[in-house]
Amino acid sequence: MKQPDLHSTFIDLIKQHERIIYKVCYLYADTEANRQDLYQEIIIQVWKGYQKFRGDAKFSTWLYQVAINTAIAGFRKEKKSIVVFNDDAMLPDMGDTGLSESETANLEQLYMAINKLNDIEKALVMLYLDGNSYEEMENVMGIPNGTLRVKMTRIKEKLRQLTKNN
Amino acid sequence: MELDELRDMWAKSATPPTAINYNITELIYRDAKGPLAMLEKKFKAALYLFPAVIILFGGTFISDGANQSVITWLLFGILFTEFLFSLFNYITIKQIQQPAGSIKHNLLKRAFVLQQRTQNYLYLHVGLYLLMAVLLELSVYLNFDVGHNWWRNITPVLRIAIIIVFLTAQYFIKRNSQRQMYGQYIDKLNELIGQME
Repeated sequence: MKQPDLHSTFIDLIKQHERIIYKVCYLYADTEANRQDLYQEIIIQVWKGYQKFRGDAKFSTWLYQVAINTAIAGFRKEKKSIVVFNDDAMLPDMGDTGLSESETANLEQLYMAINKLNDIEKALVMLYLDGNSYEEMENVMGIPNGTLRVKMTRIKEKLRQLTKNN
Repeated sequence: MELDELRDMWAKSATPPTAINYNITELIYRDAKGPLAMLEKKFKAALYLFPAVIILFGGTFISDGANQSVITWLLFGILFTEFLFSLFNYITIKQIQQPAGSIKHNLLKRAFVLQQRTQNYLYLHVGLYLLMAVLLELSVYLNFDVGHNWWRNITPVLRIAIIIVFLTAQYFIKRNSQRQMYGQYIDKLNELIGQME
């Protein structure tokens, strides 16, 4: 494929699947500035990988893999910060989503609870809420189907407890 | 609140981070700014320094051939060794930066490559310095040294003691620098792998 064709196909694909990247940014970056950095990093890595992408897997599966790998294994040194982040800083802007007030409140509660999960659990919840089947989740994560089901049961219970406590 | 009830709302929730530079065409030509990319740049810059070393020593080697002082050989050996390690690190960083493949496979690969490489790096480093020490000793016995008798004048016991101290210091210095560079990252990778079990 010629470079301009590759570009335009790539941009079209990214636009079709942009929500995957936004969600990863919201789940793994704690401030707006970090979200923008992560977004940029993911796009760069996706573009680098796309030139070698042979289409063996679905584009969305591959995009989940690259985005999550970049977010969790991006070698970010842990900072011992004395700044305490407000939970609101973790929430996406929900001004234009068309949700009712109570739905927005529920969603905010969900984001806050997800934020308390570990990195792998966050990825699993995202894949699950995005409507992926266990087979697709297995392809993205590399965790066997049976283990995934057990993990999801535990995560659901954990989230139930976390939202109850809030 | 049940997770399954929130799927529809979740689907509507992700909006772009505000004020994001949405020009993807421009973004893809930027350099990655992550810490791994920074390390890659650092090692790449060190590779470019080697031609300067060649120029620096080239004149001396052309005029006097292999008949150099031990100090010149040692200095060249150390700089060449450092070049080899920069190349070694550069290849490692390049290899582990590729984010494709399932999350578990990718994490296992990164952790394995880094653990293996840092260990090999340490042995290779000490091994090369040990080789240099042997060559230094051989130069004394074969009268290879030209104009520098200071090393020859030291008693053999003291020479061996100096070499042992030097090699031990090299081992610990390199081990610590490797830990500082990759230790935290390897721990993080192992923690993530643990979360998948």
